[in-house]
This record gives sequence, C-alpha cells and structure tokens, in this order.
Amino acid sequence: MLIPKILTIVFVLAGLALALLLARAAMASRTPRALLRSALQRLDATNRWILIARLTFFILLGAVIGFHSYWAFFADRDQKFNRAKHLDARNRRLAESALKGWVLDRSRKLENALIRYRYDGGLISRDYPLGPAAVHLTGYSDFVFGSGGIESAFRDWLTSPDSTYNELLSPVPVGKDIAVSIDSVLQREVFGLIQATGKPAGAVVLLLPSNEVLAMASAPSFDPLTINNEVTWGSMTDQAENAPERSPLVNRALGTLVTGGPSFYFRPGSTFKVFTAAVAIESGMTNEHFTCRGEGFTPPGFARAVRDFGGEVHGSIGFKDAFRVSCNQYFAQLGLKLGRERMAAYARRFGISSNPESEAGRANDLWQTKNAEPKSFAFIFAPPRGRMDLTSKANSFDLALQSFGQGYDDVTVMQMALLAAAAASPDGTLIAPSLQPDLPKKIIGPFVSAHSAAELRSLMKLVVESGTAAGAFSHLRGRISIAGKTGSADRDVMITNADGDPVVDFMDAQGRPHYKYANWTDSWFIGFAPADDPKIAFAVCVENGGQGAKTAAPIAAKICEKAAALGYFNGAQRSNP
Amino acid sequence: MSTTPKRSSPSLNLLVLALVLAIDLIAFVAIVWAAQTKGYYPSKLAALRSLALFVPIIAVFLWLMRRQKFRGEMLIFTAAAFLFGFGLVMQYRLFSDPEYSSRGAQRGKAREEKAQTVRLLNIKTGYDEDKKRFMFGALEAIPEELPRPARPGAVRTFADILFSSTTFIPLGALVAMMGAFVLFKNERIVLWL
Repeated sequence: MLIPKILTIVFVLAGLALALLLARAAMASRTPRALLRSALQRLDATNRWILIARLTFFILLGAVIGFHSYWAFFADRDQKFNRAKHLDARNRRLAESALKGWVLDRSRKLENALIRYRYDGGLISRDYPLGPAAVHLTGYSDFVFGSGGIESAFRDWLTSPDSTYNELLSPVPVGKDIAVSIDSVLQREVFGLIQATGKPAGAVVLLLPSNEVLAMASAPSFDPLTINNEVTWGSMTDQAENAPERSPLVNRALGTLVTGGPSFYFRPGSTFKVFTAAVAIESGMTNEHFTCRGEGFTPPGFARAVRDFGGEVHGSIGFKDAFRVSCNQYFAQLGLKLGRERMAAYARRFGISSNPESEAGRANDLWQTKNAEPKSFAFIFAPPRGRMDLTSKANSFDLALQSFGQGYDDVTVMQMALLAAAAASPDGTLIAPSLQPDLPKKIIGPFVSAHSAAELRSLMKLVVESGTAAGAFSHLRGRISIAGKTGSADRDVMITNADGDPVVDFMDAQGRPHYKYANWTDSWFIGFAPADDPKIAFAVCVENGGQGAKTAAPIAAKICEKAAALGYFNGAQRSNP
Repeated sequence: MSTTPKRSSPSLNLLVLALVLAIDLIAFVAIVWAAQTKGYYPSKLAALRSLALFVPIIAVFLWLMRRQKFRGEMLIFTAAAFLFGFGLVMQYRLFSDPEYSSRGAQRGKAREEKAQTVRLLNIKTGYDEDKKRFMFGALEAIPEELPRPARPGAVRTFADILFSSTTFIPLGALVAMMGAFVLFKNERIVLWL
C-alpha cells in the first residue's frame, strides 16, 4: 500500500509543479500592462471574454487540484469526514473483504479454531467449524446485518493489523488472531448434550480457579451462515423481538441475545438453596431443625402454603439432610429466620440486586477481559444482573419462596455456574468469568469464608453421594467424584403461536382477553468436579425438562465424563502449549 | 516598447507535454498497483492506449508548429492536453474498477470477486506457512490468481482497443481540431463566415 501512496504523492506534486509551470509561462507571455490598458480600450467584447475565460480556466484548474489534494491529504483531520468515511458503503465493503483474525480455542491449534477462513471451490470465506454448537459464542458477521458474539465483541482486535509488512502492502491488512478459553471439543459435546433434550437449554462449564469459560452452549441454535439468507434472518430477528423464549438468537447460558442486549432470566429452583445455605453457614445457623409437613409450611399471616416437589414429606429435619433431599419447607423457614436484610446483604455480595426496580440492569463489569473493547464486549456478553425482591414490599411469603429459588428469584445460567465456582473456591471468593485464557484472576469480591465454602462443598458432595442426584451420578461412582445441587424450577410460561403472539384462553365479561399459560418445570443442576479437588464448575438448565435429577443432572454427569476424558481432572488438560 | 505580446516558447510547451506524459505514466502505474491491493486488475492495455494517445497529441503539436507554421500562443493547446491527461487518469481510475462499471446483480458479483482477490493477496502476504498449508493443503496449491469471468466492456485484447469508442473519440477530437485549424486559417472561409 505504501508504493501506490508514494506514487500518488509524486503524481500530485508533479501535477502541481506542472500547473505552476503553466501559470509561469502564462505570466511570462502576458500582455504588457500599458499595452493591455490601451488594448482593452480598443478590444471588442469578444476578446475581453477570451481574457476572462483564460483567468477562469486557471481558477478552475487550481480548484480541481486543491479539491483532490484536500480529499487525499487533509480530509482525514475532519471528524465529520471520518464519520462519513466509516459509513461509506465502499469503505465498509472494503473492510468486509479483509481477512479478520482467526479465533482459536484454548489449544491454539488451527484445526480447533472456532472462527477461521477456508478455501473451497475458488472462494475464500469466513468459516465457523462448530456451526450451531458455538454460534452464541462466535456470533456471525455480515456486511448488511452487522455482527454478533465474539465477532462483534472482539471486532477491534480481530481487525487491527497483524503485521506492519502486510499493512504496507494491503489497504485492509490481515487482522490479529485471538485465543479464547473455550475447548472446542468440550463445547461441541456440551451443545450436543443439551440439543439432544429437544428443549430450550443452556449450559456453562468453567475452568477453576480462574473461571475461564471452557464451554458455553445454548439451544435452540442456528447456523452462523443463516445470516446470508435475508428472509430467514429477518424472521429470526422478528421472533427474537416478539417471542424471545422460543428464539434461537437467545443465548440461554447468559440470558442475552447473540445480537447484543439482555433477553430474559431463569428461575433457579432448588439450586438456589446453595446460596441460602451459604448465608446460613456464614450466619452460624446450621443447627436449626424445621418440620416438613404434608399440608406444607404456611408463613405467618398467610393462607398459602409452601410445599415440596410431588408433595414429599420430610418430617422434622436438620440443615444437612434438608439440603441433601432438597426440602423446600425447611429452606422457606430458614430463609425467614435468616431475615430479609441478611439475605439482601449476601445477594449484593453475590452480584444480585436485592431491589430489582432500582438496581436492575446488566452486569457490565462482570467479565475479565483484555483484548476486547469493554463497551462492545459488555453489549454482547454482559448478562442481565440477577435479581431478588428483598425490599420492604416483599412479604414473608415472598421471602420464603425466594429462599429456595422460586418467587422473584431471577438469575442466569452463568450466575449459577459462578455460584458453584464460588463454593468450589478454597477461599470462597467470587471470581469473574473470562473468555480468554491465562488472564490474571479478577476477584469480584469475597462471597463466603473459606470455612463456609468448605462446608458448602461437603453439602454438595452429599447431594451427589446420597441425595437427590445420587441416581444420576451412580454410574460414575469410584471413577469421578462430583458435588452439586439439583433444581426444579416452576414457572408459568405464556403460550404463543408460531408468529409469537400470545394465545387467548378466554375473553371475560368485559371483553378483556385472558391468555393461556402453561406450567413449566425447568430442570437444573449446578456443581463442580472432582468434589475433593475441584477443577471445573458448571451449571445446566433445561427448560421444561422436569426434575433436575431427571434431565439436567445426567447432562452434567456426561459433561464431567468428557472433561475427565480430555484430561481436565488429572492436570493433562488441553491447554495452551 | 514592443506592441507584440510575448508568447511561450514551443520548446517549453513541448517540455510540459512530455512532463504530462511522464506523470500520467506514474499515475497509471500507481492505479494498477493500488487496484491489485483492492482486489481488481485494471487492463494494462487500456493504460497503454491512454498513454499512446499522447503520440497523436505531440504529433499535432509538431504539425501545428512545423507544417502549419503556427506562431500563436501554444499554451492553450498545452493546457488542454494537461487537462486531458488529468482526465485520462481519473477515467482510468474509475472505469477500470469492475464494481464501478457494473450494474445491478453484476455489481454484487464484481464486489465479491474483488473481496476474494484481496483475501488471496492477504493470505499470500499476511499468513504464516502453517495457516497457508492448513487452508490449501500445500504451499504449492495456493492459486496465483482466482478465476475471473470475462466482463462485457472489459479491455483485454488489441482488437478491443482498436474498436473502442474510447480510442476513437479523442482521436476524432484531434482530427476535428486539425480540420478546424486548417479551415479557419483560410481567410476566404473566415471572410465567408
């Protein structure tokens, strides 16, 4: 690119010199002033016009050269011009023809790249080898429709010149590669597992202790190259706007849209008992015994009762057993005893808003990043901030429900994975997740003490050994030790038709529509493995998947098996060389 | 005091014409070079044709000075040739770009071809050998150029140049100017007018 630039400068300078030469020649051969005066008196109108035309010609010549020189050499200094230049379709087309950097997985091997270029049939095109399995991570890139995912979050890095030599030779130099923390093999496996459920689902796997994201999958999904089909893409974006709960553009692991922006929350169900248990351990309230009855527990002053899944009755039960068998009534009573203020204080430590009306928003500062422009990264990957309602408006029934993950608890799969990671952390700190390997650990803050974290770990181990998840992990006994917590979260979901419009159930006497709802039970499992020396933490949520032990826990078991096979548990993990 | 206005010398004008030709040559080289980095290959034949147009221009200049014994101001002719040279460069820059000269669906295809060519250039100059091998299987398998379909109106052969209106129009203009000069030099015609 340098040589054409030099030649252009030579051309312009020589052109200017030539124009000066012409002007000088014209000056030298001009009519003497005295003669001109007398001549002008005698000149007829025609000759006067020739003189004017000659002068005009030189002015126009100067204007043309000045005009071209301005655009070539000085326009860049004008901010308005630069903005216009950025919007100029020709420049954008040129930028699109550039080779952006490759996105490599943590192995940094070309064959494991998440985004690369391929040569096929005489065409060089950007390729997403994992396709739908990682589209919520990789995103997509299109001249007309823009970009999403990593393509958008790391755009500046991926388009910044990789080498000065190439920059000299090309107007659109090759961009820099980037390695992300994802393990492409594990990513494919996790996506395959959740997709096989045939239900909307999300899963996150973190590498401990740095909380690097090893896999983050969401279903339903779509092929990144769908962007090339204007009609399909149009209907997908419409659906994402009108009925996000069914849209493949939603990243269910983060609760965001792959195009950027927040989307929705999940209710965590009993996996949230890990949080309540952590507060109880920190508060020294683990010796409480409560009664779990068939008629349920009715908070004081309320007529409605809190019951257990399937009407289970646990009788008089202590803290450990209540956690192991996931007793709702126990945790409802424990939550009331812990009190709203204490729960709110720990919610804030955990990064959850206790007052959704005043503090809701996005967790823009959640991630640890290095090579991404923070705003672009947050727009794509910052999940909506988890929220509870622990304000004075929330009554004791609300508090009881929220103590075991129902009611107003709103979280994301990522947040629950971070909770599992905090429990797995030796010092109980909350570590920021990262999409890049080998970054320094970013500690969000202390969540619980080291002692409390150790107690949480033993509780979660108990769940897998002899609690609600024992059946799902029994085949791994003696091979892989896992700790975790199941969850079955009930929520009412508005039924929509194919266009995303709500289905009317009936019209009341006043002619108002009442919409149809379905009761869904989301299946959850959060945990870490190996139980005694945690290397990975994870969270899995399958919408309407039923009990946590039935759908999410078996997926978690397979994730652990795969992670073990890839060497993550014995120090031989596929890491950077 | 002389009453005859001084005129620029014919040798100075000839020098200026030669300089115009020289900087046009530089400009054409720059355009061809820059175009390749932007993903298209301007016709070098068309560039040669444009430069060759200076031959009749200089021939007409000599014809005016020697054959016609013109003793007026040649600066107007030189300035016109200068502007013509400038225009040639601009025209070449614009119309050698297949995307600029295509219409409708062809424009999209031309754009994609340009993008592909830029990518191949970048692969050659910006990728390490591992990446090249990964993409093409072997270093030897990297194509020199990507296949480019022929476009209507593109200058590829001498025949294209010979039968092109872009060649005939300036030649015709020069012939017309020569004719006009001969006519208006004739006093009978001027008087008749």
